[in-house]
Formats: sequence, C-alpha cells, structure tokens
Amino acid sequence: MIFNSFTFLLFFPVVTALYFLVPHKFRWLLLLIASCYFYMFFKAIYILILFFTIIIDYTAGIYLEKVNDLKKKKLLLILSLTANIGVLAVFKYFNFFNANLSGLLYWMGYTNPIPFLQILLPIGLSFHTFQAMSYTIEVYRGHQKAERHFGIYALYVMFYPQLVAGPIERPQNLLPQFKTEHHFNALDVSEGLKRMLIGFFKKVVVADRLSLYVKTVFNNYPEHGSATIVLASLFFAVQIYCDFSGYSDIAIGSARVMGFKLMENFKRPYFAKSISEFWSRWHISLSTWFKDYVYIPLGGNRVSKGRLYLNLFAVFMISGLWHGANWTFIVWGALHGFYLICGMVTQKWRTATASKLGLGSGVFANFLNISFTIFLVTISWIFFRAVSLEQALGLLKGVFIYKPGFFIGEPSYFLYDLMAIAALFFYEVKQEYGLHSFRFLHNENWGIRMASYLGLVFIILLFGVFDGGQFIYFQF
Amino acid sequence: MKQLKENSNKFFIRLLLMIVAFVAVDQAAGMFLYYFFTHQVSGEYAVANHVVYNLNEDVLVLGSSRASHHYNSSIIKDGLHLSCFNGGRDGEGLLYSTAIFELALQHHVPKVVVLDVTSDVLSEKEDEKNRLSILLPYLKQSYVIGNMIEKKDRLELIKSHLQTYRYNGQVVSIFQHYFLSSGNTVMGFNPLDNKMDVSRVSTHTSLKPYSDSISADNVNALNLFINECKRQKIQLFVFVSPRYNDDTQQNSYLKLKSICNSNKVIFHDFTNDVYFKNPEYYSDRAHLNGRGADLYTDTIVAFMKKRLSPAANVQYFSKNQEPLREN
Repeated sequence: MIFNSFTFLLFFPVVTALYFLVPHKFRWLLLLIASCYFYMFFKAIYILILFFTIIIDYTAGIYLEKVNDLKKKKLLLILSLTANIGVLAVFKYFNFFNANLSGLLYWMGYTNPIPFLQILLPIGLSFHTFQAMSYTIEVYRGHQKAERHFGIYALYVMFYPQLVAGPIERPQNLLPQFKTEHHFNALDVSEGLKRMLIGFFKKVVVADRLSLYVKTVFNNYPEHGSATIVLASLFFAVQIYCDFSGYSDIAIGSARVMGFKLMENFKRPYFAKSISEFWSRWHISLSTWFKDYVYIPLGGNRVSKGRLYLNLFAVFMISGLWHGANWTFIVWGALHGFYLICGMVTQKWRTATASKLGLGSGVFANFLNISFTIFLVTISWIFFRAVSLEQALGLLKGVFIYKPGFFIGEPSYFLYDLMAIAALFFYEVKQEYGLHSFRFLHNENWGIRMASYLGLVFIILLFGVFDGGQFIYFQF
Repeated sequence: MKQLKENSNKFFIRLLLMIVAFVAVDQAAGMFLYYFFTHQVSGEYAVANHVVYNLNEDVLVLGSSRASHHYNSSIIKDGLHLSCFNGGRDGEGLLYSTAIFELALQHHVPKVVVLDVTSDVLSEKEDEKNRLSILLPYLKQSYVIGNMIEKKDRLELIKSHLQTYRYNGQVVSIFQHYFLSSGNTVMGFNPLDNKMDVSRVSTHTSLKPYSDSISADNVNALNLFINECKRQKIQLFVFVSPRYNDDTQQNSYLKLKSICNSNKVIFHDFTNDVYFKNPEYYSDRAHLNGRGADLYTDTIVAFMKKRLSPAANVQYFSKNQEPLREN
C-alpha cells in the first residue's frame, strides 16, 4: 500500500480508530496485523523474507545478551549481519554483480555460466534490513536490551508508517514507545494530521507534478536544448526532495497521530551551505546510520588524513550502492564522497580567499554557498535519475555544451510546476528562518487555521497528480 | 483526565465542523467550476463540450489528435453538403471517443460519423485508461461515463464524489479558455502549421511486429460504438488516416479489420497510400500538417461521396447491401 493511494485513506483512519479503542495490551497485535496487511499489498509472499530476518535477529538479540564471551558475541553478530546482508545480496545485488561478471568474462572471451535470478526486489528491503541491523548492533554494544517479546520486536521492524521508506529508526527510540500506553491526545492528532497534509502536498502537488516534466525531458534528452535539461535537472532536485521528504512527513505524521514520535529525516537540505551540511539535513536517519555503524567503526575522525578521506569515500560509495544496484548510484555516491573530500582539502584556502574578497559571511556569501551546493547536488542527481551512465553523461553533455531550444510542454502544467515550487519555497523559507508572520496551519486563530487546512486540501484535490504511483525511494 | 476529555470533545467538534465546511465548500466550488467549465470558448474541452451539449451537425468526426488535426470540417461541409464538426482530441483513444459519442447521442443523432483510429487502437495501453479522468466533469451526464472511468480504477468513481476532484489539473486551463479565445480551431478542426524535419525522422519503426495484446475494453468499446451507429442508423466510416511511417503490423490492426468486416462497416486504411508519403504534408511522422490535412480531407470526401447512402442515414446497414471495401 502506498500513502498516496485511496486505500491508505481508508486504512489509516480505521487502524487509528481501532488503535485507540483496543486495550493497550493488544495494541501491538493490532499494529502488527495492520503492518502485515500494509506490506502484503505489494507482494504478499515477500512477507516471509521479513519474518526470516525478524526471527534471526530476534534470536540473535537474546543470545547476544546472554553470552558473555566476546568472541561468541562477535560470531553471533556476524551471523546476524550476514543473514541480513545475505538477503540484500540475493534480492538486490545478485543480478547486478552477475551482469558485471558477465561483462568482464565476455571481455576476457568467456561466457558467464551463472544464471540470472527472475525475482522482484521486495519493497523497502534496504530500509527494514538496516533498521533490523541497527538492533543487533546496539544489543551487541550493550546500548539496548534484547527484546523478549517477539511480537513487539516484529513490530519494531514492521511498524507500517516507516516500514518501506523509513525513517530508519533506532531501537532505543522506537521499542520503548510500543510499551508506553498512548492515550488519545488532540494535540498529537492535530499535529500529526497537519504533518500528513504537508506530506501529501509535497508528494502529489509538487513531486508528482514536476515528475511529468522531468520524465518527458529525461526520457528524450537528445531532443532537448541545454536550458530545458538544466531546468529538468533542477526540477528533479525538487521532485526527489518532495517525494522522499513528503513520504517522511506522512510517516512521521501518521505515527504521531497514534502518539509515536519518529525521528526527523529532513531539515530543509537545499538551504545547506556546504555538502557536509547537506548530509546533516538530507535523509538524516540513513546518514547517521552510516556514521554510527560504518564511519565511526572505521576510525571516524581519529585517523590520518589519508585514511579519513579513504573512509569517507568508501562510506559514500556504499551509500550509493545502498540506494540501488546500478553504476549510476555508485557514481552518485562517489561524487558526494569526492565533493566532501574536496571541501575538506580546500577548506583553508576557501576561507582565506573569501575573507580577502570580503565574502566571509553575510547574506551574499550565504547565497553563493547555498547556490553552489545546490549546483553540486543537482549535478549528482543527474546520475541518480539516469537509467544508465550513458544517459547521465548524455544529460551532462546537454547541460554543459550549449544547445538552443526551450521546452515548456502544456503551458498550464508548467504554470502549476512554478506555482508548486513557489509555494514550497515560501513554506521552507518560513521554516528555515523562523518567520512567524503569515502563519497558516499554526495560526492562533482557529478560523484561519481551519481555512488553511481546507485550502491545502483543496489545493491537493485540484492541483495534485493522483496517478503518480509509487514513491521513488520504495525501490531502495 | 477531565482536561483530556474536554480537549478530545473540542477536537471532535472542530473536526466535525471542518468536515461540514469541507463538504459545503466542495459543493460550491464544484458548481462554480462547472459553470466555467461548460462555458469555455476555446481549447479541447470547448470542442468536447460542443459534442456533449450542443452538437447539431450532420457529420461528426471522432478520434485522437490525428482526427483533430487531419479532418477539415469546412472541406467536409462543402464537399458533402452536410454540416460537420470535428470532435477529435489530443492523446485520447477509442474509450474517450465512445464515451463522448454516447453523450452526443443523448440529444442529437448525426447522419454520418467518421471514426479515425490508429493501428494500435485495440492494443492494451495502460495510459489510455489513466487519461479517462478527463471525462470526470461529464459524470452526471450518463452512466456510460461512470462505466468508462471505472476501467481506469474502480475507486475513481468514489473519489469523483468530491466535486472539486472532477476538475483536478484543469483549473488554470478552464479559466484560460473561459476568458481567452486562443487557438485556431475551426468547427473542431485544429490544423498543424509546421513542416516535418525529414532529416530527423525515419520511416522505420521500433515496433516489434504483432507483439501487442488486445484490450477487451477497447474491443467492447468499438462494438458498442458500431452497435450504437446501427441502432441509430448512422452511417459509420472507420479510417486510419495517413502517417509517415508504417505501424500496421499489429494484432490490434488485424482485429480492427476483422470487427469492421464482420459488422459491414466501411473501413479504409490510408497508412500506405503512396500519395501521402510526401514528407511535405507532415508535421511529424504521425500527424499531417494543415496542407496535408486539406489534401487528405479532399480525398476522404471523394471516397465518402461514392459510398454515402442516399439519405445518409438509412440504407447503409440494410441486410442486402454489401459495403464497398478498398483494401
């Protein structure tokens, strides 16, 4: 089931109402059944994969706590991680590595005898696998007690608001919340619903609307001029942000309605003044996961500069691969690693040059930094969106080698695109700079608040795209 | 606890008020948009509205963009001495044509209908069903529209209870075409004025021959269309208008010919007509430009003249009469 489907609009109030009606001791069961139903909408049989990893990690967690011998503990952790990564390897990466092996063997004059798997990627596999791995790692480190209640542990992995596209939660935050009794709280409900409304706006009014233009241009890029490709790339940058952060908003909002508080996943990333700041604002639950479980164990900042750069580059390459089994994602990750290393290497020089030019700080300097960060990120998004490296390079050629022509498409749709971006910009600027004039959804006057909710609902109904289909990040 | 209960009560009262306000605003906005929608003076909906609400012409042309751009209503009118209106619409297929034909028949029965089709008219195409949402504003006109929209998604009809949802994605266009008379449409005919760049166009097609699957919905729609013509004694011509590249190697094309043949409907395919292989007549490889459209309309007028039944509405479907077939 996807959040922007009509089925979810029926599912959500029913589950929420039942949640408050059912006694606390049965709520975990209700949420688990609801989460199974939610997941089984995609491909029912794949729930067995989830149960496989749940059983392994649940058992591993209990034994990790029982065993005192460090070697045995390590072995248990490795077994659990291998099972999780093994599932990812089979379902997500096998065909990719096999295709590359075929290419290599062909180049050497051999044929690859290993057949390709005819399987579909289970939806949100990377998300719930990473969430499950964080549990066993935290139990191993002694930061989290092993969960004895199998149903609650299963719910930790399967909690439907964040099951298929995050935020990737930590056991310390989510597990205790299943045990706390949540009473109906009007504030939580209204804040949650507001958050969901904003998420729907981002998804159907902005992301899916922009995707029509992006798809038209990217699928036929040799026919388009440079200005069109630049605009489509910028539109994609906004599209992917609204698609993913919209999902997170709906996830956080729908959990909040029931009294659960999920971690924030986005903090207006396009206001970042550097790539490192971008990564502290974009997909926060994943970047902190990599920081806690990969980067720091590799040595973190307490290593030589050369090793630090190597570690950073490796982490971003893995992050790219996490997003998808395609070279385009690996290049996307590598590009971000490269940006970060360049940023660190040139830090002193840039600071000195900026202060010489009188651009050390201030509005203009911020504007330049934000613009340059958006430029770098947008270049990387071209690789992320492209279906192949060939297409990505073709698009980059279209950006940097001037070709005349500008495509608008259906004028009224283009106008919707611009209006949607303007509305988003207004909302984000207000959030970023804490501007409290023009309060709508949070106005103290109830009449204005209600008019704002209704206005937003009608904007979604009149301008949203309801055939936009799945969220981009589901495929990961 | 008391405070919590008070807050909850306040919340539910406000929620109820909001739902009531939502329904009221939705109904009001729906009526407001319906007025502007039905009074558009230009654009594609103005053409569709004419067919649905005001059609009074003798000849009705229906089909996709190729119908809209290829059939000059004035030439048909002068050539056949029958008034004509072109109700073709960009990007729409047989399901749309059948739906608005049904709506037109509720108030007027044309004497002749020209249905322009493509070779893949009966092929399964998911996007064709997705585009049926554009029929939502006509939902209350006939149950047929509901049946068509259901083909897209069975939940679409539930969503359409929201009046504003019926005009999703249309607002700017409705006001634009209400206040501004734009475009060069004449009696529904919308000629294209550019000339195809031959150097960038190939006659080859990437189509895999006979790989398409037949859509049962589209076959039913075609049968419904033909049966309505029979019932209302309308003379039906089914044409595949010219295109620069040949895309006829499709199962849909074979099925189309077979259905027309078994129903004794005049069917003619101009795809491979040598006369229309001149690139000068094209805007792109699927569409004739204005010059090509005029020549093509002259050709079909001559073709129809020879086959038009005397009363242009009665004898064609008589049992003893074998329709003329040219291909």
